[in-house]
Amino acid sequence: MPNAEDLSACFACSTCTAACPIANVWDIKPHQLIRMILLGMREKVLSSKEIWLCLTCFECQERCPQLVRVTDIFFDCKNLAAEEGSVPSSIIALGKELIEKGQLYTVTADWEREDLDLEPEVPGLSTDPVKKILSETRTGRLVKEGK
Amino acid sequence: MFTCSKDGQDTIAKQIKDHNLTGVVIGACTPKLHEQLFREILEENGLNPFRLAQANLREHDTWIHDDNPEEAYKVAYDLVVAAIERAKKLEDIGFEEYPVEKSVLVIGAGIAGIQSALDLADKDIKVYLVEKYTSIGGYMARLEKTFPTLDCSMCILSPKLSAVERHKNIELLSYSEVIEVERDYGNFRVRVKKYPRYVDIEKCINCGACERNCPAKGPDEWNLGLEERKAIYKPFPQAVPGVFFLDRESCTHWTDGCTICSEKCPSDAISYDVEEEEIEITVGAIVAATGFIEMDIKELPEYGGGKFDRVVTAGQYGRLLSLVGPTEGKILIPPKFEQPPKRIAYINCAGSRDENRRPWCCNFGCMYTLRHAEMTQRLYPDDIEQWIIYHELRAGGKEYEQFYRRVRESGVRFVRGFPSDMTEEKDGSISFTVFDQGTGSLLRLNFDMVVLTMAIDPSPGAAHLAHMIGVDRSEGGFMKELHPKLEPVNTKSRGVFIAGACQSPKDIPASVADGKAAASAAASHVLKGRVRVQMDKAVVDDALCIGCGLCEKVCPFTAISMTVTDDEKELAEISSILCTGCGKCQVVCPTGAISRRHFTTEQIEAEILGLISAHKKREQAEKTSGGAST
Repeated sequence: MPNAEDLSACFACSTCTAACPIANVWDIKPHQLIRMILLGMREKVLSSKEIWLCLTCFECQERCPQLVRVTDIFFDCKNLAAEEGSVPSSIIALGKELIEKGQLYTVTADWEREDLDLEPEVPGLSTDPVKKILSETRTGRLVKEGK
Repeated sequence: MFTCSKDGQDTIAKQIKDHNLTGVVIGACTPKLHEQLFREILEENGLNPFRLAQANLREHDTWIHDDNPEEAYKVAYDLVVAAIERAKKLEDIGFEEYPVEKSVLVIGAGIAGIQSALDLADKDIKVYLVEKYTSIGGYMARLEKTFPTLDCSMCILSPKLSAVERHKNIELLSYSEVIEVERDYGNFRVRVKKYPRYVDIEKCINCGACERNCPAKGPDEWNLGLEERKAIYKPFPQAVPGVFFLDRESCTHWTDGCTICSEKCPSDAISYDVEEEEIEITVGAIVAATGFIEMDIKELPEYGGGKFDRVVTAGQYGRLLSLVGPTEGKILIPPKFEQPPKRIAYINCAGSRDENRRPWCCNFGCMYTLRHAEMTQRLYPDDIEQWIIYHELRAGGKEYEQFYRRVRESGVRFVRGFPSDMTEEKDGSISFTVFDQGTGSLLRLNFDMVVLTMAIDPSPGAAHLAHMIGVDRSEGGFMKELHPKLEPVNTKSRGVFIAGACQSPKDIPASVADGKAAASAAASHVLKGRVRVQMDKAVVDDALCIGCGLCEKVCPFTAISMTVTDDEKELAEISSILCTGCGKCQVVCPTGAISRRHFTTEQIEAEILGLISAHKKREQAEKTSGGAST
């Protein structure tokens, strides 16, 4: 993992867990995931749902007293899981949206825009370059394989 | 095999005698360890001790090439030849002795400095004890009780405070600061500035009329900023010197002409005309015991430090527990101090063991928090719920673990985890999230008051003082000992010693031990009455010196001065006692007039040429014999 430089300095203080805004919905808490990585429990970590729930708010990484790059490590975990092909289907679905539409969220309330005297379509929005670039990235590969 | 062992030493002695040697070459480990011993053997057997050349076959060879013994062997050969060439050029060098005064300056009058001063004074050594604050006592005087014995701190400390005041060999210079230190042959010439107290120590009768009537206020350093005090005040009842003290910063006499305290004083002890005084003292040794300070709470905004009123430091909480503190021993919620809290949380390691703030452990924080909890439990057994949020609990000292058990038995709750997401609720109480590793659950807790066990820094001004006395500093700015394992109180500066928390955060028993150790070391230094200095220093050949002054410019120890001779020739003069033999002057001297004895240009050249020629010879031999040679 490229971001695991100070990973083994972790002394399980659980500041990351206390700082995490959504740790209460994680069965395995952030500090426990880090512990599991250090103990070599690769399977459990890469197949966990928690690494995909990370909001990437960086509260944990900012506060870690041992400079463990928690959020970046979770990114690395996600990349490693993706390389092994174990990405949750909900994430693949998001990827599919990105590839097909070039955006995660499309305008569904065009009448509200009209009420505000705005054009129904967002002007200047160009999704083609995004779609093209994405289709050549790992996201594109994953989506194609996921199909 | 082991040159330094008894039979190794005997072998060296025998060789010198049997062969009438004029010099000795030893291939061994670093001279830093055994050079002194080997030199003594030379001296015992009739040779000048400086006729020893030591090749370091350990640090310079085996420790770097342990994966290639064959090549390492060859390097060893080269190093020994180099040492032999060096040995051929060595000369006799002598010693000089300088007198040392039987007096010691102790800087800082916390428990370490006080103990040091008392031990030295008991050996009939004159002690000058300088303290920056108006009273001696340091942090220990601020404590109500000490862990693990729960002794009343002042009860066990004040006999020592009185002893310091009354000892005929101790001259107490309180509210004073060291401003300059200079070496003078075997001694130190020190200038100390005495700041005016504006209250006469002899005349003050401690009635307190001045304080009662004083209209001005200032921040209270003694109570660590918890409240304000009058401009004229006495920090605590048992203060030594036991008189009131006027703080010019907060006083309105010089700004508004107020003279109330002087008018009310029944013994005419107050005078606004006292000036600063500078004195000069000469001492044979210095002990620095400047102590520590808690990290500023404002450095922890995510714990509410400096933002939330109800978050205080462990030191401040200690002042609340004090019977002569701002709340007279009652635990009341800051900042108004009206109600007692129902729930208190102590957060350990606040700022400590944190790469972003202070990477070191504060050493006594865990025990300090336990003591706070134990005392609070005794005062409010059923009324205050206490939670200690910790990560590791370090209770290593004598009977500290047993004290920890007592606190657990008293019902204090322990949560192993670090808090985050600290919020101040509308009613001023503090909430935070913490993961309790014991139950494996994420908790959201709420408290009336939060106490942070802060990280520990060296005292402000320690950096400047260290520079003045020639002491290095370690990570964090703590004063550096000569060797972390074996020389805890000596420093690299001859005649200068350190004691207590200024070296590294530590508790009272360790500080007392340090004070005693430093006193012993300083006493050893001064009681001999003289210091023996080896003369392997830089010397100037007057015939070659052109008076350019380059050496004076580069000398880091101000050991060189330019003088003018009778026939108006400018020459460099080197003080052999200030000179440490670093050799910088020898390097810059354009005419070669300066020689650093024992490492002269000729000696260094001989060693290098010896190394090169040995290497070349070996290479030749290998080529002609067509492969590796032994």
